[in-house]
Amino acid sequence: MTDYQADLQRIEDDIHAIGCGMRETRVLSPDIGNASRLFYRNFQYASLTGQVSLLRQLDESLDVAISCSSQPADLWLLKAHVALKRHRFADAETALRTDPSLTTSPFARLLQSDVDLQQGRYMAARGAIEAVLSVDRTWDGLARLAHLISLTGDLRFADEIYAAAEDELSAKEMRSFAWLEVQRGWMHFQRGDQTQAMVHYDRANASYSGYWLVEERIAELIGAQGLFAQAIAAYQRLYAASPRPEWEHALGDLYSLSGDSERAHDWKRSARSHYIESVESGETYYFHYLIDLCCELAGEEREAIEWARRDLSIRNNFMTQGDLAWALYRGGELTEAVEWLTKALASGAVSARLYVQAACIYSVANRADLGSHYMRLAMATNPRPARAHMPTQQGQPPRMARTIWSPRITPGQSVA
Amino acid sequence: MADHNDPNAVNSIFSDVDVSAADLYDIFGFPSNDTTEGEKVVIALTFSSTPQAGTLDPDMLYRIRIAPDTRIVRPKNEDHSLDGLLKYVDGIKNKYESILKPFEVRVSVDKDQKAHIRFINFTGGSFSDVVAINQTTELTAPDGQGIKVYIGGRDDAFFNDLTGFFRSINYAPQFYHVPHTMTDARELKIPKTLLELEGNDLFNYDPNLPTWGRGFKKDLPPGPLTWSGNSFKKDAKGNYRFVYSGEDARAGQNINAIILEMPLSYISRSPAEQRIVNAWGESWVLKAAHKCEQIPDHPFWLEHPSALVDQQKLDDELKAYKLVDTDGQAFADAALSERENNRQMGANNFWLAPHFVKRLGHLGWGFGPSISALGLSTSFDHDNSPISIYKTYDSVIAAFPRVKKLLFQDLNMPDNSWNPKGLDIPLRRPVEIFIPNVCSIDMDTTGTWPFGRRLEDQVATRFLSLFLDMTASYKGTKYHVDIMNTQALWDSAPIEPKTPPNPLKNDKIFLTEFPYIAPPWPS
Repeated sequence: MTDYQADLQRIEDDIHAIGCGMRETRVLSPDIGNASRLFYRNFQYASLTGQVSLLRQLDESLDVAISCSSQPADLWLLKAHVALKRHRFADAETALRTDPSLTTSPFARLLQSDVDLQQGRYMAARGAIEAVLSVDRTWDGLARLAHLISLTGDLRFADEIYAAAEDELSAKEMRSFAWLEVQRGWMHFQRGDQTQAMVHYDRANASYSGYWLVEERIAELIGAQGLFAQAIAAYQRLYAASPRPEWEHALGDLYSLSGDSERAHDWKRSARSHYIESVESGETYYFHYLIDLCCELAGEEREAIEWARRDLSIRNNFMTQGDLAWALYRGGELTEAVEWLTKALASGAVSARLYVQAACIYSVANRADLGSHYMRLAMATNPRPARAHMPTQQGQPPRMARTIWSPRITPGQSVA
Repeated sequence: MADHNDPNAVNSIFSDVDVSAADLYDIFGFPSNDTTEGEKVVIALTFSSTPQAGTLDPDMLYRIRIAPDTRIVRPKNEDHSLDGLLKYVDGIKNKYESILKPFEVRVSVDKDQKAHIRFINFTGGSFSDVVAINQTTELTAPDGQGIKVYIGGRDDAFFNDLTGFFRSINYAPQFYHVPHTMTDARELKIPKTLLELEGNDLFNYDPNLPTWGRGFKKDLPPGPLTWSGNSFKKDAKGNYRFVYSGEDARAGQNINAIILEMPLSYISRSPAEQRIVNAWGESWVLKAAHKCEQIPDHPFWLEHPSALVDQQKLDDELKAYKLVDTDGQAFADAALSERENNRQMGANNFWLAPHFVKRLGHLGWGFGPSISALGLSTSFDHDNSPISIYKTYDSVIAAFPRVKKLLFQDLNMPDNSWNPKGLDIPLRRPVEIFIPNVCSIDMDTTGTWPFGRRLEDQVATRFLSLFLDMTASYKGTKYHVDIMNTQALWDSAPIEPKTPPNPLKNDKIFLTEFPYIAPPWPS
C-alpha cells in the first residue's frame, strides 16, 4: 500500500468512526466537536483526492451545519477553505468575514491572503502573510510567501523560503513535505530547469509514495522533454485511476505535440465536454482550462473570450488578465487585447507564459520592438520549453518545432 | 514535572489534535533506596503511550538532560525585592548557560522497536547501546558502573483530578468543543477559584452530567463567556462547592517511559559536594526533510561504545529533529506557561520570570480569596476580597508586591522524614522551584517534592499549597506542603465534597524496586 493509499484509508476509517460516534452521542446533544472533525476529515479526503465534486457536497452540508451551530467559527473557516478550492473567491471572502474570531485567526488571515492573491492584491497578500509569520511561523505561511516571491522572479529566495517551510515539518507531515517539493519542482520547471525539477519530484515521490499530484507533475515534465509516449502512458494511468477532464486535456496536448492530431482532437473534445458539464452544474473551477482549450480549437475563439471574461470576473490577477488578452488576440480583438496585456504586465509578475502572450500580441499590434523584447524575456525566463514532433513530408527529415508548454496550475492555488 | 497539559500543538484536549508521542507527561526524580555500591538517583520521564503502551514512535527522540550542582546557599540579608528576584534569575541564568554543562541521555527507537540509548558527556564516560524495550536492562558505563534502564510501557504514575484543576482555572477546552479560531476561549475571563462561583453555569458541576469534563464535552455556547456574579456558591447547609472531586482522571491509563537508575558518581565528579541533580526532559520529532535520510543504525557504535561520536556529529543528529515539548517542574506548563508552544524552553525559562510573576498575581487573585473563604490563610495579598477576582497584570512591578510573600516563603514540610540525615538543608521556596524549570533532586533528602519528585507525591495538591501562608497554623500545626492532602482539614471545612482535591494514591501500587512504576494496564 502506498503512503497515499494508507492516508486515504486512515481518513476513511476516521470518517466511519466519527460517524458511528455521532450516532451514539446524538441522544445527549448535537455534537459539534465530532461534526467539525467529520467535516474536516471529509475536506481532507476531497482535497487529497482532488475531487472538486466532493467539495460541492461538503459546501452544502456546511451551510446546514453552520445554521445549527452555536459557535460555527471553525465551520466558517472550513467553508472559506472549500470555497477557495472551488474557485469561489467571493464566497471565501464572505465566509472569512462572518465570525469575529476569524479576523485574528492566523490561518484565516492566510486564507484571506490567498483571496488577495487571486484578486491581484499582491501587496496586501504579502503583508498579511508576513504579519502572520512574524507571530506564528508555519510551513504553510512560508509556502505562501515562497510562492509570492517566485512570482517576482527571485527564484533563489523563493527556494530558500520553500526549504524553510520544509524545515518546519515533522516526519508526521510527509504529505505536506511532498507537496512542498512539488511546488519547488514546478517552480524550477517553469523556469526551464527540468533537471532540478525532477530532483524535487523524485524527492516528493520518495517521501510520499503513490500521490497523483506528484505523478501528474512528472508526467508533465517528461512530456515537456519530448518523451511523449511515456508521458501519455503516465497520464493514462492517472486517468484510469481517476478520470478528470484536465487529464483528458493534457492527453490531447501530448498527442498534439507528438503529431497525432486525430487522437488529440478526440481527447480535447472530451475534455471540453466535461468542462462544460462542470460549469453547467454551477462550478467555476474549470474556466481557465476552457480558455486554453477554446483558444486551441478552431472556431472557438469567441467562446474562449467568454470564458476568459468569466474567469476574470471571479478573480482579477495577472494570469486571468493575460488569458483574456490572449483570447482577445486569438479572436482578432487586438485593441482590447493590448489593454488587458498592459494591465497584466503592470503586475510585475515574472512569467514565461505571460511574456510569450505579450510577444505574440505586441508583434501583431505593430509593436515589434516590444514583441521581440518579450520574446527574449520569455526565452530567458524559460529557456527550455516543450519540444514538438512535426509530421514529416515525404523524403524530408523531420522538423523540430518549438512551442510553449502551457502549465495548468494558477498562482495562489491553495496549499494541500 | 507534571505536564499532562501541553503545548497547544500536541494538546489532545483540542478535539481534532491527535494524541502525540511528543506529549511529555511527567518527570520524576529521587534518590534510590538501593545504595549498594554507592548512591544512585532514579529519573523517570513519562510520555504519551502513542502509538500504544509498550510501542514507541520511531520518529521521536527523547532527551533527559542532567546537570549536577551544589546546593544553593542563600546569602544573609537576602534581597526579597523585585530587583532581588531579577538578580536571582540572572544568577541562575548565568549558571545554566555558562557553568553547568548538562549531560544528556538520548533515546530513540528504530523500526524494529529496538531502543538506541546514548549517554553523552557524563563524568563516568560517554557510551551508547541498543536495548530491548519493555524490560529492564543493566548497562555498564565506561567507568565500570552499572546503570539500570527501562524503556517501554507502564501504568501512568500521575494521579490527579485533572478535571477539577481545569474547572478551577475555567479552562474551556476541557469542557467544551472550542473552535481553534477562538484563541481567547481557552482560560475564560472568569476568576480562578477553588470554590464554585454562584451562577458560573459555564463550569459548575452538573449532577445531571457527571461525565462532563471527564470525556464528555458540550458545544461552546454563544456567549457571553463570562461571569458576572459576586459570591461563591453555597448549598442549603452553607457549604461551598469544591471545584475538585478527588477522583483520579488518569486511573486505568498507560504511558510510555524512560526510567533510569544511575550512580551519583557516574553523574558527578564531586558527589560529596554536588548533592543536587537537576533533570529535565525534552521530546523531539524527526523533521520531514530527514525522514528519508535518517541516521542508520551503525554497528560501529556497538563495537566501539566508548569511542562515542564527537559532539559535532551529535549536534548534526539533533539538527534532524525539532523540539516539541519539555518537562521539568510540575505544573509549570499548565499553571504558569499556559501551554504556549513558544514557551517550551525547558531549563532555560529565565526569560519567563516576569511572566511568572504576573501569572502568579493573576492566579492569586482567584485562588487567594477562595482559600480565605474556607477560613485558611493565604500567602497572597488580596486586600481581604470576599470573592475571587479576575485580574491580570501588564506590569511585573504592579504584580510583584502581591506575590512577594508567595514567592519567597519557605515551604514547610509535614515532618522531618524528608531529611533523613537531619542536615541543615534550607526549605525550598516557590521562586527556586519554578525557575529554572527542572526537577531538582536533593540527594540528601528522600527526594519528595519539592526536593525532587517521588512517585507517591501528590504534587498537584502540593502545588496548591503554594498559595497558603506557611507562617499560619492549623490546629497548632504550621501549614505545610501536604496540609491540603489532610482529610481532617476538609472534614472541618465548610465545603462539599469533603475530600482532598486530588486522589491520595495512584490507582496502581508502585514497585519497591526498579523500574518502580507499575506495569501497564492490559490493552
